[in-house]
Amino acid sequence: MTIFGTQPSDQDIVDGIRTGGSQRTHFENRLYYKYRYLIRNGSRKHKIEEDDASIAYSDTILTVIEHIAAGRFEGRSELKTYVHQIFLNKCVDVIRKRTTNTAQGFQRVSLDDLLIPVPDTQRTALADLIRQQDHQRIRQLLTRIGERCQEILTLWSEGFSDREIALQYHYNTDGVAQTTRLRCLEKLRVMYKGSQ
Amino acid sequence: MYETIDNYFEGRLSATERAAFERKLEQDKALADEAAFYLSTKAALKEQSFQKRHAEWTKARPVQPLRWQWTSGVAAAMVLLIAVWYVVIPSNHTLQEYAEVYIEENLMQLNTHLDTTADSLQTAIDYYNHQKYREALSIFTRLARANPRIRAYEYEGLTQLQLKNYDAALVIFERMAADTELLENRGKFYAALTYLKKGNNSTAQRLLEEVITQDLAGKSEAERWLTTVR
Repeated sequence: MTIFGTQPSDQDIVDGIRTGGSQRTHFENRLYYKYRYLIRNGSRKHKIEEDDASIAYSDTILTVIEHIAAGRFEGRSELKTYVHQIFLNKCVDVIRKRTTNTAQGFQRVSLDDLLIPVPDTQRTALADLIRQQDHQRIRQLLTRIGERCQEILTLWSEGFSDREIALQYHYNTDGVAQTTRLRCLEKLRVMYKGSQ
Repeated sequence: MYETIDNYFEGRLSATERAAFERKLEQDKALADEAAFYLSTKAALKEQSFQKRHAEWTKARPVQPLRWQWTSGVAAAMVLLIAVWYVVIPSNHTLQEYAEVYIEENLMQLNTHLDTTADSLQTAIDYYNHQKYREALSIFTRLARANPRIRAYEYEGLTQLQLKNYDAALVIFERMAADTELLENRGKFYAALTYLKKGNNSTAQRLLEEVITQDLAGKSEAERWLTTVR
């Protein structure tokens, strides 16, 4: 909270994001604006361009939102500390990418994050398989699978649960949302194989 | 096939099912390919969402066209608004936020000392730098009692601050502030940080003002923070 009480508390932000619906977007934006001073600090501290720090910060906020929504942020540390720590890691990633000039399919999506459930012994092999996919082709095909499929898959990628998707599209159960989502994915897969 | 993959990555499998899936993932190339496609699609969508949200968050506010006959009135209103802004509206940054960033940037890592009189000071610094504050504290406390002249008691205070033992940290920083023999005395500034962490803004603000007027270490930060938050 600011001196004159214009900022929501961290708990309000966490609760607002977990509530879902239109509240969620509002609190996501409040979270972004609350800590955006980190952009300038990160740029100065890590000697990176302000644009790079701004990208690292947006990336941080989306990661934090996903962790809050998925219950991975459990409130064991303060939200501010959590944001600071993830932002620090993202800035280090920027520096590492700049120094190693690593080429990969995605610019801002961490494979490490995606592969979190996978045991260490299998991560490298799966990461290699991901790199072998034609990501440009997947992006193109996503624009052709239909508006509803695009929306549902986008919500899933942003960390929305099947329950939230079911509520938004008036499906009877979470299972219906999951089945619909996976059918969209299968449709995309068929299009992908057909295009190769 | 995607249902099992989805349930695995969404954390919906039991421990036994998870272990079975991981075994199969290792042996079955077709399953690994499908899992890679599943994750690649998620990554592509995340990348798109990222670009959209980043653009929304960083875009400049559009400038509304003004009809000329309104411009003088609008200009007058803007002057008034700016005046009100400076008097009433605070900066987006609070003193607590400044303190948090200062701690994050300057107090998470202690410098190693080449002239350490005891290896244990270096050990405690290593503990501190690896966020093992409890282990660090017992050594700093012992060293500070044995020889108050070394920096151990400053570090003991910082460790108490990291452990959120604010009252214990304040006792140390206030003793440090009273020490006239220290060349660079940050005691009062650290005490101000501690009061900010405790949520006691008025005492912190008073201490920061004293840091400025007495030309103590931390003066430049204190000036910047107080000027910005007014």
